[in-house]
Amino acid sequence: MGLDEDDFVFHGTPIEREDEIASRKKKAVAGASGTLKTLPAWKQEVTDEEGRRRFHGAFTGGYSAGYYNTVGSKEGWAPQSFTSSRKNRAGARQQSISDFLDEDEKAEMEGQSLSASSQFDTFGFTAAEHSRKQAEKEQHERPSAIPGPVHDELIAPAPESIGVKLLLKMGWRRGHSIKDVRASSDARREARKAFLAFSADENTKESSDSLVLETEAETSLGPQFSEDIKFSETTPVYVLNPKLDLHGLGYDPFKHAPEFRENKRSRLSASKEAGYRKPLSMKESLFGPKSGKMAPGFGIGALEELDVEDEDVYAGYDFDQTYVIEDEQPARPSNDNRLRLTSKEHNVLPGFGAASNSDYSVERFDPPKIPKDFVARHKFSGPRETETKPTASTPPDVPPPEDKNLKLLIDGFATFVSRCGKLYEDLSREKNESNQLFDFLRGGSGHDYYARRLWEEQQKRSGQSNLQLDVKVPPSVQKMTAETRGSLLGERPLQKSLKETETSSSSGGSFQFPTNLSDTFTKSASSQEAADAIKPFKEDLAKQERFEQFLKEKYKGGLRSSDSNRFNIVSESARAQERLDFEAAAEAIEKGKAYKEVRRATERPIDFLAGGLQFTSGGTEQIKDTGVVDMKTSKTYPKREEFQWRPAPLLCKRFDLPDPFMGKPAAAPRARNKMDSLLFLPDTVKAASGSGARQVSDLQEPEKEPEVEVEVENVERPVDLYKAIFSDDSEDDEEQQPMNGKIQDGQEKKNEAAATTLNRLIAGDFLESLGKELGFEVPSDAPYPEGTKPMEAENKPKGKPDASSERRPGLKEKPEEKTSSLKLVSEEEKSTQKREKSPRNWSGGNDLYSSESSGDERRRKRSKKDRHRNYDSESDSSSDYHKRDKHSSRSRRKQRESSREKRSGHKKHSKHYKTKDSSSSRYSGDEERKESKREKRRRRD
Amino acid sequence: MSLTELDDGLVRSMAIGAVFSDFGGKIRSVGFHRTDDLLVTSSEDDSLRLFDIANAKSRRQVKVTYHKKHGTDRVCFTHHPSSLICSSLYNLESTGESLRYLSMYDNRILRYFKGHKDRVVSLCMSPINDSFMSGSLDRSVRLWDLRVNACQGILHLRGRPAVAYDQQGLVFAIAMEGGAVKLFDSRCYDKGPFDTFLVGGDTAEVNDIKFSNDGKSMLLTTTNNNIYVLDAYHGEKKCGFSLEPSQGTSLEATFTPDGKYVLSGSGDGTLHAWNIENPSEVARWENNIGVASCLKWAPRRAMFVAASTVLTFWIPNDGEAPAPADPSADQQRPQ
Repeated sequence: MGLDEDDFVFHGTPIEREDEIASRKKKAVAGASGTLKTLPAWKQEVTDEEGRRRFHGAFTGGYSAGYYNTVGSKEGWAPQSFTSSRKNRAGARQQSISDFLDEDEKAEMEGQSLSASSQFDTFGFTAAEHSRKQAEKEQHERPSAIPGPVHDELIAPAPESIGVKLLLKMGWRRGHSIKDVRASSDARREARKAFLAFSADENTKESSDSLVLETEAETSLGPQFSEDIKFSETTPVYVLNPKLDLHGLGYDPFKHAPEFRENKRSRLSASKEAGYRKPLSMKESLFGPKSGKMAPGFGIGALEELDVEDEDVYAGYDFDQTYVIEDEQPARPSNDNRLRLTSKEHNVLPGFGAASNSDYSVERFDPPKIPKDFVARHKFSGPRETETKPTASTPPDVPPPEDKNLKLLIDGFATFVSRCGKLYEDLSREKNESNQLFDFLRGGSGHDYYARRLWEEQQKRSGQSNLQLDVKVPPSVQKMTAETRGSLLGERPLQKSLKETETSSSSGGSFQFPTNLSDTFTKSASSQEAADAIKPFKEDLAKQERFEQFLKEKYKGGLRSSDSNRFNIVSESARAQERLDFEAAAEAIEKGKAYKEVRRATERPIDFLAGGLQFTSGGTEQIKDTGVVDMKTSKTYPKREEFQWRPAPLLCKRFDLPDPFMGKPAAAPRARNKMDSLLFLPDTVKAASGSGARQVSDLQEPEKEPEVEVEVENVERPVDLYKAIFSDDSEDDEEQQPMNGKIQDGQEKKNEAAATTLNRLIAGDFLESLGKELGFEVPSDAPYPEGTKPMEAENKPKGKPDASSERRPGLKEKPEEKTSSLKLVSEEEKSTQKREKSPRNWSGGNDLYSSESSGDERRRKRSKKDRHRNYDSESDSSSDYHKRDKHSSRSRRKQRESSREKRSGHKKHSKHYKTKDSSSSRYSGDEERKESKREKRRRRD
Repeated sequence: MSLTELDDGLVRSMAIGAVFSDFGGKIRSVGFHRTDDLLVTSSEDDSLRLFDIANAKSRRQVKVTYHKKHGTDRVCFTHHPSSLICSSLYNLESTGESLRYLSMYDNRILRYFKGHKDRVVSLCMSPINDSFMSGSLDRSVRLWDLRVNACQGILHLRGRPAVAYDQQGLVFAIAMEGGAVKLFDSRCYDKGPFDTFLVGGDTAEVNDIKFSNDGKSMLLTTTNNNIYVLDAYHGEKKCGFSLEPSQGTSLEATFTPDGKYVLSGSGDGTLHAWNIENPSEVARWENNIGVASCLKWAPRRAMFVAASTVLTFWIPNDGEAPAPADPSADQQRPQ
């Protein structure tokens, strides 16, 4: 038999006895991999496990059946749920015949057996119900997120009732009434047959016949035809009258005008007639009985003429089990139409009589009555009325008082009152009870002038508004002076004197102050200051500018302008100092203002607005307080802060989102405060936080901030030193610049820098090792006081966001280092690595470090090694990597890599002198690897 | 009776509902099944005992098996109610069979997980799949899969590790000496930790770390009897509690399922409950069983177990005896 002997085919899954398995298995395996597939199906020969040729059954294919003519798969049919567990042997399993039957065979079998359908399967139903109940109970016992019943029960379609099924079987269709139509339709069918015999040649007869029938139907069944009635009884309305219009559901535009409905119907039917021939024929059959009838459903072409062939030879032949009359039926709308026609003739529907009196009447409602005293304009109560009042009695024109200041004050005040309403006058009168300056309010000197000015101002205002509203000018028009008219028209009045111009200009200047009050204030203040040369910081222009800004902010209120960020350049402590200075200066200015008896009267009212009237009295005293208070008050000032929100990495993981800040420097505030607290906290804080207090909740210590801040600046030096030592490469500079607390443009680059964790690890380790090797004192203890954290996070200016994320200097190392070997390595990887770089791996590499003196050192080295194992090849290649042009523009990633390499490159030295002599062969291997790595990188870049 | 919420009063009313004192030694660890009402204990008499915590008292103790060869130390349920992972105590050097996958149903060892050279001190099963983690005194954390007896991942660190999965199984935390907590993505743990916290102020070894059910907090128990509740997202300390020192026994602290309370034993034999939302001590119980070295709250019930040499079941004491409530309602809070 040769090779073919091994080709065999499995049919089904044999039930194997264990002792036979072993011997057969070999063959089976051989067979499976053999040439089985190469042979066409009919050439394959069936053999059993022993390789014997097996007769497959003459009727299914004989010796060469193969899969041919069988179930067609190697598995064939499998006995149901064959378990080949070694423990639970397939023992005496009860097998039923159904296990060995195909689906169709089962169906056959079931055809013979009697079983309840699902409709009547009460047991099945109850079983399902029972299980459902059970589930519900279980759910009740153990509530889940979604309470309530099982959903599929709600969604499950309701099965058809058996009655409906039976009816359907009996020939009933949906939409028909349940009525015995058979008898009548039988009779009609007979009639139709007879009728067809005639209709072939005898047109007239037919038509008359149809007419007869029609009348018959009409008379017997009323308005509709018998079949139609049956239909319309059960057929839903939407089937009979499909909605064709665009009205809303249920809306009947002809509800109260049925006559128009009629119109529309006829229009519709007319348009239909253009398309169809059938309605036409209907009409003809109605009005001209001699016309030929059309076969239903067979139209004629547009160019064809209706001729004999198109006549309905099978007129009335039942397509829809309807009577012949239907063919003569017009389409439904026209059917209606016809009804209408007849109804129009007799004015009633057939079968109905016209009512003598109609109940129908349209109920109409009158519009609501407008109250008699209603005016269709809204009147505003308030200042406008107070304004109109004084117009009644015009105060006499009075010459302004001698005192120029008083005049200014009065002018300003009048303008102000006219704008803000009388209420303000009363208020200020109350407030300035004892103030000599405001005597004019209480009828003192200048009261007449004040009244006059007030009136003028009010005139001005009301005149404006009146002009706008185009309302009649009050009767005081004829008394209008040239000045008022001029101001009303916006003219610049002729100058009587210098004072006069001043007032007018000042009033005009302050005219807009409700809208931009603060601007006018600051403007006038600054201008006044310019005039009076109140420049406390004349020697420092920038400072003076800041001071003005400060004044503006101080009295402005509301939102702070964002350019206050400018001050970030100055350190926090310096800023605080400056702020103190500013406050003092502002206080001095205020005082000067207050005690100079308000020379600049125009400023007064505005001043009132800005600070309230108490401002001069209470406000100054408040300001008089020492700087500490000022600091606090300025602290509580609402400040808008901008910062970049970044989700916690854990949050991203939880939501299964890629971290948008992945690979970018860690969150500035958090990292910084970590660093700060680790690095620069005074010992007291350390001690305080060191003890695990009983219920330590986060305390916020704002006072600590400046302190920390200052120290940040101090720490620049060591890093600078590092930089000085390793300053030959530019990338490193970029990396370290943030240490200096400046936002530098390389930030973007850094944002794309390596994963933060890696960076941190590397940077930290690097610094630590550097510190050790340079003999720096690296503090060993790294407590992490919890108190200072959050506050710092909030209060730190944005200036130095990256300092810590890139490098976590010194102190941080300890804990970091402990975790430094945190690199989960899969076992396989590990083993391969073991093979590859046995001198270096940590399990076998311990002896390498035996030369090392201190255990601590060793540990550090080792951890470093572990961490950088992944970058080994990179760091190896770094040296010559550097030789290539450093300053050429590389991709950012490269920069990152190379910078990392540089850091680790330092370590590499300590590593290499060991590895070199220990295994030179490995080193050459390293060389090769390095080469390939570089190649890869080149390609990547 | 059903409970919808744990409140201070309820926590305060917890009292011993059942006591099992036939242990032949101290109880080393207890573990609840995540969904079933089952508890397993391992004790110094090398026995594993299975308890049904919901049923009547007489039937509570379901099964006892002795493991004289390997001993029983840390134990935790797998997803199957009769399968456990148990760490060994004896013959670690010779066999290396530091972890066993046990079937309590037919009392067989399904699989040995070899790798750890020393005692396993922290054992945690992933809530979503078949992987689990073990931290050992040989300063390594190993990641396993129940289906394979080879280690899936290994992590070398310093000192004694503590491991915990969070309730979603997406993240696991490894705490180590020096108060460093590293968070790993359990799907790509080989990429290294994606976040690292430093819990400053306490450089003692971390005994135990746990996530709260809502994932917002972590509980860190250190060997010098401090308990810290950390914000799981940023690693900030929310509050910290210090306990009486206990000689020779490590204490265990636990969250309630709603993550609002923290319970712990103390060295003076008392039990404490703190509300961590507004940090305050809610309750303190005199415990008559000595220092409770094991303390765990049942994941779906208003009950907890405290164990020293005897096992005590604590339930709300308001008249009725066992009140199996359903804090699962609390578990359903939006995470």
